[in-house]
Amino acid sequence: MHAFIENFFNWAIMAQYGPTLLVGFFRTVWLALLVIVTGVGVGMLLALIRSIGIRPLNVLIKQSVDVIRALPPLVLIILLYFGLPYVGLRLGGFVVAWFSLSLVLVAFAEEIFWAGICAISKGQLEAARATGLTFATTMKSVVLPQAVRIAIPPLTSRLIAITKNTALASAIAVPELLGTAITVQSDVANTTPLMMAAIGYLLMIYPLVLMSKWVESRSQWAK
Amino acid sequence: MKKTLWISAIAGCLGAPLALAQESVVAASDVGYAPYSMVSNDGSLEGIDIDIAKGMSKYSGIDIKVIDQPWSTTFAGLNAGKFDIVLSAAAVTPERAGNMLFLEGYGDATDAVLVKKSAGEITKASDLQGMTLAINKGSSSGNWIREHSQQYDLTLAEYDKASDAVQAVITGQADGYMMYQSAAGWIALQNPLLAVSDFTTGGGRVYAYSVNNDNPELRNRLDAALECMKDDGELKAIFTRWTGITPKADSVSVNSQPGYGQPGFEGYDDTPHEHDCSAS
Repeated sequence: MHAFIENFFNWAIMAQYGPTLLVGFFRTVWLALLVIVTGVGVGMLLALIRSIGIRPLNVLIKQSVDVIRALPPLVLIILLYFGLPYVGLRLGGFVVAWFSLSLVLVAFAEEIFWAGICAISKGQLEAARATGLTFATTMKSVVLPQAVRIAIPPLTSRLIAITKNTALASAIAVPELLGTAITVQSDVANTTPLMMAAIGYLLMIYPLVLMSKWVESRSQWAK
Repeated sequence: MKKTLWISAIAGCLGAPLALAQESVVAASDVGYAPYSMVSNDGSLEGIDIDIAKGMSKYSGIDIKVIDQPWSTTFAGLNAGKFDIVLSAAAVTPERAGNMLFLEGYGDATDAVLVKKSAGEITKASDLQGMTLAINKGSSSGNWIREHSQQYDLTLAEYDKASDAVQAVITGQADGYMMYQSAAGWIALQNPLLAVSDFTTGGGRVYAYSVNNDNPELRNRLDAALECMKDDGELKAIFTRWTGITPKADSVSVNSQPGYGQPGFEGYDDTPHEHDCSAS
């Protein structure tokens, strides 16, 4: 047991490398926040555009989303980072990571919001339009509040997954939390930094779960 | 039967590891770290570390089975007892020496910078001014870059894989890749676009294999075998064969160290011993 603690929860190492890992922690939080804001925002926008029902546009959205969802995020990251320089565009690791992960989240968020919108019966839309509401107002005041409530549980799972996917950025030299932990682990020949990273992810993701619960309970009125 | 029991009881009291009783141990190697450990055309392993493992087997009489273990999980695996030997060119540092038992060094941890040929001559540190330097994540080369990042305006970029770091230099995402001179030489031999800097750092540091802290007997036997390989010039020949560079006369690859382990670091045992180099 002593050896286990020595190797996984070594206080001396935690104290010494805490500040180093904290830098990686904040970089991961920042990256995750940017990805979530971009991904959820653009994803919802695409779902709304799709609900207007312009056929060629819908086909384009559907096809792109299906392709992006099928690709492993790491491949996207490597392709953009090492591939774009060949066509004269050299983007930094952080920008590439943000863009690739946002793209992935956009694809998933669009499908989740679209599923939410589809779940609202057509009768509601027709009834709202019959009372004289415009399409935009109908979406904003009638359909979306209910669609979002349905979308929150699956969306939360995606947000958690994408937050953990930020670790992929270490492949292109972005010193995020997990990558930093692995570096320190190699320096000190001890597994404690990995446990510190695990605690870091817990601190990041648990509030996300609590927040989604809160938003869910707030929107109970829409029942 | 009774006699066998006695022997195993004594062995148990002495704390002799089971691995030694069977004369077979498992070594973890980061396969793909050229030219130390690679997969050959026929699927078997080859490289500097693989050749040395064979030599150590010959002199110690211990059968060494090499497995592939990514570098990033090597220390965790060693501590958990998943294997007995870290068969990788790990630079000996005070931090690491506290957590594992190093054999004596087998190579000089001299770092050089792999750059594009078009980058021009790099003969001194100031030639690196303003560069983004790649390293393989967790490599000790990062320390020099961190210490000099202000002085020469350097940016450190750590890649998960050595192959990605090379890609970064080729695509211009990084200006150079700091690594062991021997490994850099090997990559430059394979890729005519790349060159190795004349500028080097880390003189005097060495890299070595290691075993778990509670296994000094295995360490000592492998250490003695390594000394034999230095004495008969076998180690020198292996380096020359794989890197095209012959170790200098003062290199740790040529001179065996007294005692067991790397002098000056935690875990070093200065017990004098004869070199018994009758290959078994």
